[in-house]
Amino acid sequence: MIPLRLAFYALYVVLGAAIVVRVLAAGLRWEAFTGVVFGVLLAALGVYRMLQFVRRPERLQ
Amino acid sequence: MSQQRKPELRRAVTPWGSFAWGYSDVGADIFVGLGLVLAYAAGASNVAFLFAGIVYVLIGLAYTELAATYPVAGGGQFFVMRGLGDFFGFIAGWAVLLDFTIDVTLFAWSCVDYLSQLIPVFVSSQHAWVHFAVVLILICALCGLNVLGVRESTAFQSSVSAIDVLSETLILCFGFLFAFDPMLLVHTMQSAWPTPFALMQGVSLAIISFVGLESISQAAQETQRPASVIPRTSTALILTILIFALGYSNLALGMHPWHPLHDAHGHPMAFWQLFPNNGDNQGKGVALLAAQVPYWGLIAQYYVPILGAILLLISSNSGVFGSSRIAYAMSRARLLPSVFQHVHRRFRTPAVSILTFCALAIVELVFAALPGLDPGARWVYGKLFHGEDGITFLGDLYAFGAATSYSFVFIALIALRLKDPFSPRKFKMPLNIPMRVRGLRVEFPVIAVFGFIGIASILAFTLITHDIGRIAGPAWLAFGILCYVIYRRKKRLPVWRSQEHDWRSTQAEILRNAGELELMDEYLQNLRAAEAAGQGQGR
Repeated sequence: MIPLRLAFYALYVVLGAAIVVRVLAAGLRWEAFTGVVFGVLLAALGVYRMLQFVRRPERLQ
Repeated sequence: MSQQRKPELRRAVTPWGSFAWGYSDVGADIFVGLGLVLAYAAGASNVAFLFAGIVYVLIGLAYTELAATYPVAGGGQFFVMRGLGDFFGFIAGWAVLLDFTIDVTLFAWSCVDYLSQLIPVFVSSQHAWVHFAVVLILICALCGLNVLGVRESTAFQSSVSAIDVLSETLILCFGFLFAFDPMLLVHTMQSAWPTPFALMQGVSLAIISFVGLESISQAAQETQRPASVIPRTSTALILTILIFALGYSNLALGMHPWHPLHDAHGHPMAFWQLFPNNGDNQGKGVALLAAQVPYWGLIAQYYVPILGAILLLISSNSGVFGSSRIAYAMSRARLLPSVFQHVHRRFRTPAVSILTFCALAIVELVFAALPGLDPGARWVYGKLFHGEDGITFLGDLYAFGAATSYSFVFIALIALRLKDPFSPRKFKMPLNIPMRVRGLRVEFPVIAVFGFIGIASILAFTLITHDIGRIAGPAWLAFGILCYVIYRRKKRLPVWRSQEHDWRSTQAEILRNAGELELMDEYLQNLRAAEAAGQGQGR
């Protein structure tokens, strides 16, 4: 179960990063701002949960 | 001894149950909010969600701090009463009560809208009486379920919440991978940017997508070790909901529908154009979007309406739970008559409150459905409210109640930081300025000021742009204040001032009942230290 959870959080990071890249494919425009925020938040959530897991695995129980 | 003790709400909600309770309420909001916001804010829907989302994060942080510090069933109402006194506590609680009863009706209504995606006879515009009857039956069924007890519904909510998180993530994955076009997003935002008035409408409706943190505070009294659990569950909830709201709104504006869409004249349509002036579609935004996601849409078009309907039904259930618990708490604080704190001897649930507020939800349902059921009523609504009815009627009031109560909660948070620095806070809003007030070291929460400005502006948007919210919302508050004045006079209690409260004993008892014994010791130690130094008398 543990590697599966880590893989899930890693998927968040990858997906968040992919969304930022995809949204910015239209160029650096203000219309892309909310999309970038969304992608960054998703990636940040993944990183946050992974760090939480690595540092204190019991918190995820 | 045991016979003299009044029955109390039992602590049956686990950490995951607490998250699921909040998620099933807030998580379902996007199912209602997406279509409504797309209908009004059009090309600026993602901006509307971002603005409301930022305010929501601030509200979430405030609730997290307060619910972890004061884990009682009253939620926002208790915090305001503790910080600002009985009268304002009543107003905040009364506004939350409006929200919860609207919650019951709005989500039951939207639940049937989602089912109409699979069962055409439920379509509101074509079979108004059938739609009305099904919503009515659902509300009555939820009423019965809640009279029976808490644990049963919590277990049900937990499993559906887990499935929904997975499902929403999959829809976003497939949507962004195979249907999203950033150039289309830019084009839609430029060509369909709304007027300032419509944008204000959109923002005020977007807050609907974030209402429900109250549920976590409501569940705090029934959560095991709430001071430790609530910050964890709230933080996870805030991030999850914000990500979904921003994801769905961006996807809806920038996606190429899998199956080409055409209007009545055969012209091609963008996805978001399904929603303006179409009440049926506004109630089932996520189901329509899921069906247009490539590949996964093949399955999603069948299961998302069902999953959405179940989640919305659970959210409606959260409304029944919330309204009954807050009435229970208000009654115990002598803001409402004592009949509302009657706990059923067998099921240990506040049965009278549940029955009363479900009846109120049915009255709201009648007002919302009336224009669809009777042409005469439609004419009257057209004259008075510019034709607002059904789901927009409910959405207006929902936004009004939420914005009013949240505004008071921010003020209460600031007041409590200054008045009660002794209560241990396991979680604090970030960015605090240390200062001394009447000889006490306190921390002023800067973020709460920004939060208040944000939610007050959303309240102003609601009053400016919504005809029904402008009239029915303040009318609800005026009616409540009248009842409050009559009740307090009859009981010979101060009307505008607060009755005597022993907040120190109350707080110690709250922490003891919550099982937070270390925090209780810390609280009592803080009090003793302050008394030894001659500070903080009478707080």
